[in-house]
Amino acid sequence: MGLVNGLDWVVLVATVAAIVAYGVSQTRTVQSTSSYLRGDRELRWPTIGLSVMATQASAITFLSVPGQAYEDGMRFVQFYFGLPLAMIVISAVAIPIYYRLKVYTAYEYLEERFDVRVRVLGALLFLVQRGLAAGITIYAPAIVLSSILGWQLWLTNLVIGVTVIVYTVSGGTKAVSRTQKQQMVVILVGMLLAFGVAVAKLPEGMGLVDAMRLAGAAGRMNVVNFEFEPNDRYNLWSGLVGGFFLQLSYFGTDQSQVQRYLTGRSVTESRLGLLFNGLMKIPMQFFILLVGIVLFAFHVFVPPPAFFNLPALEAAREKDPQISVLEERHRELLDQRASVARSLLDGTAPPREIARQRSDFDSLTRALDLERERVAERVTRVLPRAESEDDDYIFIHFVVSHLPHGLVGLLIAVILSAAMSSTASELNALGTTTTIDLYRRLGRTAQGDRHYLWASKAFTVFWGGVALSFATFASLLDNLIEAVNILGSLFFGTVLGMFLVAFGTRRVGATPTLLAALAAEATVVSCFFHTELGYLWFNLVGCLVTVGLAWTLHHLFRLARA
Amino acid sequence: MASSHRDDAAPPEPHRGAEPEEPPPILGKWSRLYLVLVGALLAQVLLYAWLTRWAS
Repeated sequence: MGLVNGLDWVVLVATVAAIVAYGVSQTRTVQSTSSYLRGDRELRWPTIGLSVMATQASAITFLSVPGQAYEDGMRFVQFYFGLPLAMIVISAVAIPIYYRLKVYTAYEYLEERFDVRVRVLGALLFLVQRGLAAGITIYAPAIVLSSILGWQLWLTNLVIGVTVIVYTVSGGTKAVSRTQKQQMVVILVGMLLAFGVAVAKLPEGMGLVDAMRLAGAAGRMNVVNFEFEPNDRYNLWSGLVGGFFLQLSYFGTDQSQVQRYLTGRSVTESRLGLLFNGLMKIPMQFFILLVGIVLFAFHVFVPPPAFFNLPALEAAREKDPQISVLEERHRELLDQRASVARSLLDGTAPPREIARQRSDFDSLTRALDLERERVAERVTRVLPRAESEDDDYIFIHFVVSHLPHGLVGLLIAVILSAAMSSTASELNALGTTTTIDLYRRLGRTAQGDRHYLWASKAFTVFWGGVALSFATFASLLDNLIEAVNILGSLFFGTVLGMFLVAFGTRRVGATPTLLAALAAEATVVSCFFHTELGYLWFNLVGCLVTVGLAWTLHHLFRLARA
Repeated sequence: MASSHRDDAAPPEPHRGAEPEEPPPILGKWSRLYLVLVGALLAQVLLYAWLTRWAS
């Protein structure tokens, strides 16, 4: 596209190189397994808090979420309503236990409480799910960045993957957590600047409040919905209940997060880090969604393309002349909507007239959405490999088309930083779990510390290779990102249930818990195939079935023995 | 597979009831800090509900 110039490259390369150099510089202090896997337990709460936030916020968060608000409104913020409550439960219950047992991984606790079978099951569920997710964490931003930078997809995958592997393998947990702090600073500064420029580029006399009013007229300010509707993906209740269980499982039992807060100097530092996350996460997500709302208002007056993946649109236009006709219709509708929007913002009409203008604005927005869908359908018909959903390209299109040079480079560095920070945590956790829960527990059980240090590094490289391979072949599959998101919810509830049985009961043993976990998995998979239940509820179902059935089986076994 | 403890780490400490825990640096008790978080969540939900109503 030629929209990234020399200055952008200087900013991009300098930012990423500085972060990687900082990460590698942490290598000096890594001399033991404890140092490599737990960072010598010396980190303070601000580093832990930012590291936890950086792990959860992958690149796709910053690419997708503004586009989601642009298309679907603000309602996605409800997904995070259960998070502060989950942080409280983990701080009060899980952290003191993990510290008391001096564990490296969450799954070690399962053996302390049950037996090695439950520990291995928990570790394997994590490895399968997180191993796939690590590939997607690389692939998802790579597909967008390769389009913007004009690089081959495999090369973009390789650049992201190898960069992360270098500092994760050399510096271990400490390098991951400390670079994440720098990465979060870059990410937040970059997003704030992009937001500021977007607001400044609104038409003269129009501010943030007007942008929100316009978005509201098109149904985009749907932040909270109190209606209980199980099939609705995002509402207050699915966020509070389903989201609570999902976040409890993710932060309490997923090693990529547990490893972040186990680096704390004390229980207090770890707790404060998680509570910081609980306090800041929802406002941060609200802010990223608000960027999408400002982009929506901006494109009411500055005509957007009918399909935001411009290279795909240009290639498709040459093959299908009908696309140009649809684009022309799209432009006409945009002109009509801009005219209605000006009258609406003028605000001098009588109330009944304003109500009519709002209704017209909403109808025209719906008509435009329909035109965009028609264009997307045509594009994917002539280019089957192109993504039919172009939401992920909305924010990056604004960045490369409307931001000043230098800032474009910084925002691409933001996307890369987010991709690297999530992937680093995942590889670090995958290497740790493979070493501690499988290799050291079931394989080489009596080796020296140095042996396990090198094994941890080797397994981290191995998982980096797996993630890169998966990222490379991911483009051959359809709807992969959605599939992996749902895959997470298929496992999270069951794993959480195993941990809740462990934390909450003293007598329920390993066999009832194992059987209950297997039955819960079958139930969740059955719900996935045979019901329309929103995927957030799978977490609740898996958890309740595991806990309820483990308790019931425990009592049945006791009766049978008696 | 038989159940066994890790062979490389100290055995888990026995349960000794409620151990005294270090208080948070502010507000004196962890329960108060947790209440602040719940209050912040409630305030945000109310703010966003108002925003939804105002803009619709």
